[in-house]
Amino acid sequence: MACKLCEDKLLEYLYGELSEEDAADMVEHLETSEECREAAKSFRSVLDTVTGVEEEGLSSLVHTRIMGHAEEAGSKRRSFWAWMFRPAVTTAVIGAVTAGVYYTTIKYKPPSYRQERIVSEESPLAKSKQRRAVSPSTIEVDSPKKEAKGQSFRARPSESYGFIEQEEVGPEKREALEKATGPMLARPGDLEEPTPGEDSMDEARVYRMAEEKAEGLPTEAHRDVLGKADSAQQPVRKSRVLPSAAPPYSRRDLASFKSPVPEPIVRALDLASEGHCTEAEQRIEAYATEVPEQPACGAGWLEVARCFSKKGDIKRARETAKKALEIESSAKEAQAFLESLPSLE
Amino acid sequence: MTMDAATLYEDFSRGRRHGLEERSDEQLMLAYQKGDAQAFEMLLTRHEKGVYRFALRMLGDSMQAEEVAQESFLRVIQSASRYRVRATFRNYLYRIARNLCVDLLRRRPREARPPGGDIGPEGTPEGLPDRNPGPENHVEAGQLRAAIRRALLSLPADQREAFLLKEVKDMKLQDVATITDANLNTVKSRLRYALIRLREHLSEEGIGKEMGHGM
Repeated sequence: MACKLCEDKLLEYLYGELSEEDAADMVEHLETSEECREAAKSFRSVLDTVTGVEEEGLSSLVHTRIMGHAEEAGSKRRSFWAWMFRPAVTTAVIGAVTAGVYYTTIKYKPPSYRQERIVSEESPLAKSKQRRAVSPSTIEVDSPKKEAKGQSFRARPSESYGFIEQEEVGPEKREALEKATGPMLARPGDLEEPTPGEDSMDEARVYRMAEEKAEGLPTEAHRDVLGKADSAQQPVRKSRVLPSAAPPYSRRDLASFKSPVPEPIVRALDLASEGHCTEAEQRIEAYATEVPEQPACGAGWLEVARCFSKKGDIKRARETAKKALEIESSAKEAQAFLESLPSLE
Repeated sequence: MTMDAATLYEDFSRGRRHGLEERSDEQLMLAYQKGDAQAFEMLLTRHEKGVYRFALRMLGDSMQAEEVAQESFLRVIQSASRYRVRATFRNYLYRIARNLCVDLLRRRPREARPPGGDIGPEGTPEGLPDRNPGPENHVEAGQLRAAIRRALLSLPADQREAFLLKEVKDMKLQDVATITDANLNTVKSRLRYALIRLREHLSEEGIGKEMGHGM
């Protein structure tokens, strides 16, 4: 096409896409240029011929088939929204979302694991803390520095949330707590006063403990206690635990063992402390069959006996304690326990 | 004056149809998204003929053209829940149809791409009955239609699709460029070459003898 204007704009002119001004210019140009006029004429003829011929329409069968699909899909969408906007469903969905938000962001929001609070004994916060502090992992221990100040130190490593709370408890409070508790075992950090850098657990350790607890394994803290006592032969100093705090079985016995406490016994002790007396008994029985002279079995039998005793099954408590009586290391304590049991009458 | 239920329903349907007719494609599609099947039927009625015509002239095969038309609308149905008004519905629909045609053309073996497709000399696809048998003028119309299809099929696919898309009512050059993923000047160029080739081919067929060779 020789003419630049036609090369650029003839098609748009033929298709009616030029502005009025450009179209007028094109008309003027076509009047003057015969070559361009002929080209426009022939193109127009082609367009009219090709576009003007009617084609057969789409079969009505295809139309019906498409509409069948459309109605089916449309009814599914309609029924879904109708279902979604029923008052009961809407209320339930809103309630579930609200509850989810509350529990995930407000109630169970894990506080910082390093969160430590020092609160005075008499403050209302301290009182509420003490009430709340009755948890299985609360421990109380004396420390030389605190003793000098007439205070004891109580740490509550909350394994569920992974943080440690520390509270100062005065001597009066400590005495009251001691009256309520029996001789129990030390827990991590109990053997010596926590020093900076040791007074709290690192994050990985805290979560490892939580995992171990969930799996029913003896926690790392328990092993630490056993390890420290075993290697350093350091006697556990006076230690008191809240009624429901720490494992209720005698860790002192285990801690005094020269060799590591076998895993089945540790597991059995955990079971007994959780109230699964029979299962604990079976585990110790199985282990004692293989290693009858194992001193840890004595502590195990004794703990199972205590478990039965707590459940009121004095007969079985007595039977189990007698097994502990046969083992030298636990004989003395078993004898004391048997004497403390009420008669079967 | 009392009106029976049938009359009332007829009036209602007529009024509803009238309401739907006034709505744009995009409004109808949004209505269908909410489950209004009548809105989709209106869309189908508006575009089925154009889509089928485009596919038929692109492929030269009425069976495949029907398949393309049906599949195009089915894809619209399937993606209705995700439909957002970003471009015109017409461009969206023709883009689907165009892509399906391109896929089919690619799959055809090279030797099975005759310039005249499967259209017989009488204007009826081979092996298929003529859908519009009738008087002689119908036969002549059929011959003209067949000649035009052959001329169109003689074009390269990119020129053919540009020409056929521009045939669609109200489709602008820019729309064609958008649908075919080409720029505007490329589309213009393709159209110009398509017109020149069509003119030559139709002249050879003896159609439109008045078509000169001015360019």
